[in-house]
Amino acid sequence: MAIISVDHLTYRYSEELPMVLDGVSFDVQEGEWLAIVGHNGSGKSTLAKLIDGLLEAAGGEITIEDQLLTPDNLWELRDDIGLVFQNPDNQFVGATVADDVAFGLENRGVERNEMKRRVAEALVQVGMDGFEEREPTSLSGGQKQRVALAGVIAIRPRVVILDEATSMLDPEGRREILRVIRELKDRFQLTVISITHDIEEAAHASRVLIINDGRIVEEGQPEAIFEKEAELLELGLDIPYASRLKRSLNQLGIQVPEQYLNEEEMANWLCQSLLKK
Amino acid sequence: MPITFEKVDYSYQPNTPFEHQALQDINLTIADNSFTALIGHTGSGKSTLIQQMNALLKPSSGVVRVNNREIRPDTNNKDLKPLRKQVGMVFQFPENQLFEETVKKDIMFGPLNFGMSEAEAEEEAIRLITEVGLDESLLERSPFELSGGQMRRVAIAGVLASKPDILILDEPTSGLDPKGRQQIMDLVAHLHENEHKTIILVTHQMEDVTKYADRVIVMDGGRVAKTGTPKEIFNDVDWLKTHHLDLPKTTQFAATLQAQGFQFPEGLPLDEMALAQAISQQISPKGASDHG
Repeated sequence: MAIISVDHLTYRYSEELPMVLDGVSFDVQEGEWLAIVGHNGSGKSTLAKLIDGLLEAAGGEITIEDQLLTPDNLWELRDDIGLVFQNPDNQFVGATVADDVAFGLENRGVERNEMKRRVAEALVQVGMDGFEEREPTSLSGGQKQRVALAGVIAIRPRVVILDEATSMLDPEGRREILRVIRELKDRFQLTVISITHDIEEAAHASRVLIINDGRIVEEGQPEAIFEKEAELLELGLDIPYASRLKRSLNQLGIQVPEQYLNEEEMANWLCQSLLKK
Repeated sequence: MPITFEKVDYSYQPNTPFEHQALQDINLTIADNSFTALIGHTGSGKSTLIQQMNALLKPSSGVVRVNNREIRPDTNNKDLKPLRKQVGMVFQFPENQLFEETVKKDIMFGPLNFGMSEAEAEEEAIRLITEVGLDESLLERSPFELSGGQMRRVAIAGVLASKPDILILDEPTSGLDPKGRQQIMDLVAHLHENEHKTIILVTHQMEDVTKYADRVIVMDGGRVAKTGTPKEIFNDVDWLKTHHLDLPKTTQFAATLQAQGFQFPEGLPLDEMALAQAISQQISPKGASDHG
């Protein structure tokens, strides 16, 4: 079942500027992990803001849980969609970690004891229990993003949108946040939309959309998308490591299977090809 | 002249209950025209270390020498202006520091501050915008209309305007997309090779370390844990793991293959072409299909 439907969506920042989104249509299925991949300026973050009602579309429709998104039902529907932004330093409002996670609940008038319980639970779920009284500024980037995620899941959304949420983190912080998201997704049957230019992050998805110049140019499972190496490079995106190695092997005249191999499959194939000593 | 550190310690908020020793017994030499990568876990002291190099922070004890100028705990701040001109610092997310109405004014800010005339500074701005790979027509635009990668290049141009011979960059590609990252690293490589600038690059991107650096400094817990060439550093796989450092993708993959019977007598390769060549000598050209 589609939890979000986007139909011929258009957007531009002003009349003189070109379309940022130019007739974008797609469905998000309940419980899937959808990666929306594109280079900076491709329109992918604008799309996230439109779905969360932070921007108003110039044309087209967004349907969330069978309701057409309008200014009237925006606040109600927004409770079902949590958004984690790129910069961990720009999304803190509380003086302590616990205050920060509580912020969205306070806004929604959640009763005090219930609020405390949900904050405590959310911090356990992202592995940040014990940090309740710490100042957000004293945390590492990865920890900050996990606190931001706790604030989002405390609201109990059905959809979590990650808008470049890992791109400012070091490799360890990035792995940490992706692991937590996978756990949360499985535990709460969340729908995840990750907006990213990181091909490794896209590999976590069940489906990938590639967006370029405000249009969807490719759609498919990660394995199928990763086979389109030349196109990905042309669009200013990376290709997975095993594909990069495959291209180097091809240049040396070694015939590697044409279909996409992940790192484990590539290692297995190479080991099978190893000349016996 | 090189940069040297001699027995440098540094503490934040000394003599208070919040005292935190961020650097301990640092002894280092960074040669002229070298390209040094500074790596280490978040909180290992990398940022504190680079701030000693242009005296944004002064040692609590010991001495830092940059181009024969000494920075000691009691060095007068007034004496440091020429040094700051020679050591350009590109902070993380430098685009956050853009503030002028136009790109041109932003690039001119530094040189004017260092005493250049208005006309000279303007000439410099025109030269630098092309140097960092942007079109001259952007000079009259507001920096805030530019893309993230463009803003970052404007910020770098502003640092280059004071003509530093040492350039320190703190994670200059963080948050950029693949194309933006490549453009910034191409620019850094150009400044090193063609403008002969000494480069100190703080990074978590191990692939960039292998591709560009001739020397690596590994920081851990406020100390220099190791120095060496990228090949030396990345071939000690177990040591890197115990220090929570990532391997470059190729080295990691080569280590996996080594565990399954591949041999790398010249050490684990650092880039995919070197790995492909080592592999090609050990498998049949048609791969697994040849012997089923």
